[in-house]
Amino acid sequence: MKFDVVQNGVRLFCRITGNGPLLLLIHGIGCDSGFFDETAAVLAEKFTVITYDRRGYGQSDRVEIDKPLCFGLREQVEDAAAILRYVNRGPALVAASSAGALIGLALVAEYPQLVRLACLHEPPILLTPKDARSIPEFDQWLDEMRMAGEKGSESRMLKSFIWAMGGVDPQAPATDLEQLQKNILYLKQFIDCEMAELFIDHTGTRELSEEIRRKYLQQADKVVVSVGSEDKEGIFHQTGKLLAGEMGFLLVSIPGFHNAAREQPFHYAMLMERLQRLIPKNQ
Amino acid sequence: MTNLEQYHRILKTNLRAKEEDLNDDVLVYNRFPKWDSVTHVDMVSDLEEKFKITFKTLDITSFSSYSAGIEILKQLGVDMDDVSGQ
Repeated sequence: MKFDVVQNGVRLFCRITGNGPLLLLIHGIGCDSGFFDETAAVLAEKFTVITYDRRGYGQSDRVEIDKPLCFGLREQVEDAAAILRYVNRGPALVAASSAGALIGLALVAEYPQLVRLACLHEPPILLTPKDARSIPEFDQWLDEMRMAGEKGSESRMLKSFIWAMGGVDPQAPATDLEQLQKNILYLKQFIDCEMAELFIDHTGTRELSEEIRRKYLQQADKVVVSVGSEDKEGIFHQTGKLLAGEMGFLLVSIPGFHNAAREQPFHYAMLMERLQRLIPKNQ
Repeated sequence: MTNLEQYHRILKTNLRAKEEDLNDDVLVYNRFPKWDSVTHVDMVSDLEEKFKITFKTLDITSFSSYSAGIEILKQLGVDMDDVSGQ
């Protein structure tokens, strides 16, 4: 079933399917909620699955009335929270892939009452300059994307994106040419707006504030980081492991690559089932 | 080597295609085994570098077959009979 949620004037396109415990899926960059289509169909056998196009993506609004769309982390957390409140079925298991993990983590920190457990797949998150120095490829990737945007080179932008995905998933930029067209638009949007607005405080350019760190640590038992077992050299495999180690989040490995939530629907669904069993009954 | 031959060389290298594959019945995006989205981006990048051109979104997504690639190159000002791409 499709439905819209309007959050501060921005219409968010959502879909809900299946039966069982509530599960919210949050997509990353260079895609929309279609990223989860196959996986959501598998998950729907055991969960009530909500997918949505994040602001600026897919069928959700691309502009706010009278002003450019804001892609900030705060706004995107409010979007996810608004969807869970609208559905009104209690706290959810939240599964966020790649850049969606920024939102998943901040959501559980800001609204722990809405989240039973958050699973972050290969989060592109660095919390300190020390972390940034240990994985310089992350900053190198952001720079490369920025330069591709400045030069207006879409092929360079796509190559850089593929490189960050590990370069091993043949469908990393898109499943077909129609999707590729959309994803080029999304990547441009990422470079122009979201890169700075969403990732602020999480690229390791400065120390994470004590207030945010404390909020994350307070919810550490509700956060699981997953990584793809087949892309150990991948940037976001490394950032995921680093984040889990630093914050004491449970770290699990599943078959596949950075986009395991799309390319490994059965393994991803199995992970969700296992995590569901980890959640105390009273939570 | 003409620009058409340069185009053929890039297709053959990226797609591991043979001379007899160079036609619209065989070389089609997502149908020819090696022509996936990653290889597609690599080919676009190689063509841009070879012919000193820039593919825009529509060029990238219209490049769906052997002859579509030739048409796009022509639209971007590449003379397929010329030898300037060497």
